[in-house]
Amino acid sequence: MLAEIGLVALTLSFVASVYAAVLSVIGERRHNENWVISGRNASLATFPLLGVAVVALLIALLTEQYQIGYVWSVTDPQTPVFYRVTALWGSQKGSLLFWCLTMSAFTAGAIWLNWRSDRRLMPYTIAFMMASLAFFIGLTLFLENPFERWWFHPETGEEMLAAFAPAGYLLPTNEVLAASANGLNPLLRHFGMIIHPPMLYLGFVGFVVPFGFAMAALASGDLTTNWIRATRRWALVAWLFLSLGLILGGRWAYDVLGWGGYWGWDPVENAAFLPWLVGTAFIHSVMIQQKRGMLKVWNMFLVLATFSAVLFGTFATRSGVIESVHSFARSEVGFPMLAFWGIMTLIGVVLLIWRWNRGELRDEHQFAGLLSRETLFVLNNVIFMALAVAIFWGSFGAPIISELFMGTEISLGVEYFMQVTPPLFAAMYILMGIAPLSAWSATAAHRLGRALVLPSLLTLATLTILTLLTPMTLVAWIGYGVVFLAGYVALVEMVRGAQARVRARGESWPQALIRLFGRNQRRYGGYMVHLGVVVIGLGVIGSTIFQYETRRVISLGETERIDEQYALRYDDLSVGLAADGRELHITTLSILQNGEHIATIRPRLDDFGEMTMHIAGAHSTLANDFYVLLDTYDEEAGLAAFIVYINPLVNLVWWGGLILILGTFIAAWPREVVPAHLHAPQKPAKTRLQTA
Amino acid sequence: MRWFYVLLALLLLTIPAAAQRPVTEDEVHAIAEDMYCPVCENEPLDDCRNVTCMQWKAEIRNMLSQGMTEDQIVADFIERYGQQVVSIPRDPTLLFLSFAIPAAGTVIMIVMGVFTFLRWRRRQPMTAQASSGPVFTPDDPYRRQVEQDIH
Amino acid sequence: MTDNSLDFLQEPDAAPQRRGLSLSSIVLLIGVILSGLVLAWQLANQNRLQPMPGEPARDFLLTTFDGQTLSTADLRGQIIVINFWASWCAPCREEAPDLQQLHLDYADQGVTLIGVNWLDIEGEALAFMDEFGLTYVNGPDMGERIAEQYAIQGAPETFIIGPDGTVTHSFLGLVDYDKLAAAIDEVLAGEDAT
Repeated sequence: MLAEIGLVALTLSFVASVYAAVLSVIGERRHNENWVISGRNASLATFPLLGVAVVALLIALLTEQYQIGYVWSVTDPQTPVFYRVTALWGSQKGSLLFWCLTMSAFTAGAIWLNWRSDRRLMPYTIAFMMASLAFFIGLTLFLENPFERWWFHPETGEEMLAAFAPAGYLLPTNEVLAASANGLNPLLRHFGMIIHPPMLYLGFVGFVVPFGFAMAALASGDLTTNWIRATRRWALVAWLFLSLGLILGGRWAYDVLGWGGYWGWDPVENAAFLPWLVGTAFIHSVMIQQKRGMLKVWNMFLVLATFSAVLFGTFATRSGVIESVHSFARSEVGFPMLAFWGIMTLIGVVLLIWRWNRGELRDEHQFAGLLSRETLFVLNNVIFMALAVAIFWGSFGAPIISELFMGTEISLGVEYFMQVTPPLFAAMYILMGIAPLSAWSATAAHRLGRALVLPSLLTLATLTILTLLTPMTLVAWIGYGVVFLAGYVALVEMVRGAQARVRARGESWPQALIRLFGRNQRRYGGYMVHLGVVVIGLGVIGSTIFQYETRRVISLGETERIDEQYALRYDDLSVGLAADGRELHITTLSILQNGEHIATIRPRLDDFGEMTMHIAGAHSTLANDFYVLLDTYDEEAGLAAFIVYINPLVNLVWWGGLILILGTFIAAWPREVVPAHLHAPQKPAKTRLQTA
Repeated sequence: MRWFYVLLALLLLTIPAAAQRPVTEDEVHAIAEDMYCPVCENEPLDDCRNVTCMQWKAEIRNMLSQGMTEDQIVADFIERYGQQVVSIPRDPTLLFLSFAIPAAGTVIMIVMGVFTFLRWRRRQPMTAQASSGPVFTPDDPYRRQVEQDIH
Repeated sequence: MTDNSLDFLQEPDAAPQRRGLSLSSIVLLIGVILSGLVLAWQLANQNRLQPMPGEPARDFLLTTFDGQTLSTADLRGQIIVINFWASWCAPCREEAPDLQQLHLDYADQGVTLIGVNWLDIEGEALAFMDEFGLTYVNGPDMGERIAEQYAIQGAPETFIIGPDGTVTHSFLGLVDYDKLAAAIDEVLAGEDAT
């Protein structure tokens, strides 16, 4: 029953998306309003239809319908309710369906909200968005269908998975299947699983909207700033979710995967980072086009590149083209996805070149000084694109080229990226420190210099205090230096802006700050995002350069000195069984700082039978994380081997992330351009001409 | 004199035994940290919890206690399992390949940026169709005067 | 009298300047197409599977633990049984006695059993061979080259190559004496028939 509902809903959504794409294009070219409206309605319908399909699968998961192949492969009778829900995206088929749902949510939202304001661009926008959606639904429906069921032949005993009953096969009983059900991959049985994939998917699919508008602008010839205005906010929203997804992914890795770090430079992680880098470049350079009408071709290219990176990212993750701990199992979706990536990228590039050749993408203004904001934003783009090239090359380019043309498999890992990226990141922070102080068109060097004096002094003061308090290295000094500079520039700008309001309007400081943010959402929201990135930078530098790691074997009851201030006491060992059948081996440890007990932590081993996971116990403060993993233990000898990490400032990474999210919200929040009481009266439904 | 040589010979005989020096976990970890598990894909050797990885780490411990240097150990592993066990390839061609492209990419981006900036400098805002707003140059005397007046 | 002052209303707008296909456009187009082709090639490579019955044999060179070099191409005309194993692989331990027995039984019938030691440590591999008394030829797969040629995904995996150089059987996983013996007998019977 549920499988049938799911299949029907999925099929209908496929038909709707194809219909919408085709009719929108034809309707626009033939100037037939009815067809365009029909196409629009079909595109809006894909969201509830996919919603029905997802709900059907969810109910099947919650009510243990093991006859549905997907349910059988990701859950078993012991799976608790919470994980049944997250199992929806636990494996390829379900996660593809979920991807389609999020994409249709975004497209429906964009169409609904932008229909009136961007009516001219809408038909082609719908066409391109629906074409993308149709591809992914088609992929799900025909190649990786979560609603396929198990059938078995009563005589030969053969089993197979199919959408509809093959001749002579019967539906097995639920109980029989329940006994052999797979269960959710242990790596995914964590709280973080409920947020990380959805956020990441929302970030990825969100970029289909800017892409749609950009392609519509190219296809229809409406290359004014209309498409930019429509796109900017959606790009910010997608960027917000992508940032969230990346940060949450790091947090999950830190909490669950048990290697004391949060970013492994794994190819799949990097594949998600690439659209973020290109997207950030776009968010900045699009302001140049909005303010001065320059860089039109480049901005078009960036939007195409961002969506192309998204398609490439999901291709790399799901096709197994590069080996990674994150990859899904080998599947048949590889070639179709590659083909779709190629076709979409080519169409975009061809349209772009076509319009460019016809001279329709010429810059309006053409002058900018050396230290103007335009030039600095161009520099920003240079750095972000260089980062994207480097990270793409390290994760995909070099391994693929060396495997195909030189016959050797290589892996470029943490060591490589830690040599290639820091100079670029440092340049990025320096730029973050200078660009907010520059002006459009031109900035005199001495003005810039003067504005930098206060932040520079603050930075030097902070660095001096740091050097007196903690051991520093040259690299750390430079790193902290550029990061603090960027942070102080943002802070000083905020204070100066509020100060101006306090002096000019007599507002109180809190009032001034709030009004400042309210009136200049984009600018001060942007400064807050910069602050967030600064705080993250501090956390990354602290936890990378000054991380202390050691392995100790401690006897039950003994205290082991870790460094000058910390000691660890092994108090207790207990073994138990969790709700989903895993065996828990929990050690209780006391952390002593300068002799005083400051925390009790419980690192443990989760034994799932086929795999064991090491779950860390950690004591988190702003200054550091005291993070301990249980490696192994010998109960008879009363010994246990622990891996101890002291990660300074690592919690700043998560706090910085929150600041970044808040800043993006402020920058993207729709603002009232015209106060409500000044709105023009509503136009009459029909003009005299139309009723004639 | 003969006793001296006997003593020396005895001392020399003890050196192989002394070469089996104790190795700390941290030393093994320092080497395993930058290596990858040959079997699992793209997983650092140090974080891999397989029995096999434990054996490989034991092998590293063994090699260290025999006095092999890190370079020798890494070279041995590369010979046995391929370049995929290290996070930066040791082979010169591959090394060049890995670092040259990002460097070239950065240079190309910088060149593009410089070209863009030069294009902006070259096209003076004289043509009527191009400019539709006030244009500033940093050398404008009027602007300088205004700035001085403000500050 | 002709009045030219309003002529500009009749003039068509100057067409926007056309530019030729710029260098950047060409680079971009070629870049996208090349990337697509390279990725497709890589994907095809990654999706390559183990040799299936009917395919031609994938020949290789193996340096045995004794230091001798063995070439499968030189063994054409014999039946070759290639077994990929490792000391850390539990099913391989179950298989090992069967394989040794097979070697003893069929060696005089023109059947050569070759053990390819995959991703292993020499000490452990030799200890494994001692434990099960393996006397057939074994060698380490240095740099994982042979395993990559055969697209090995795990151990154990066993392949039988007929005298004409075509793969006749491939077993992905544990195999026991009876199954393997039946397969070899099949190949021998086919050989006699020709």
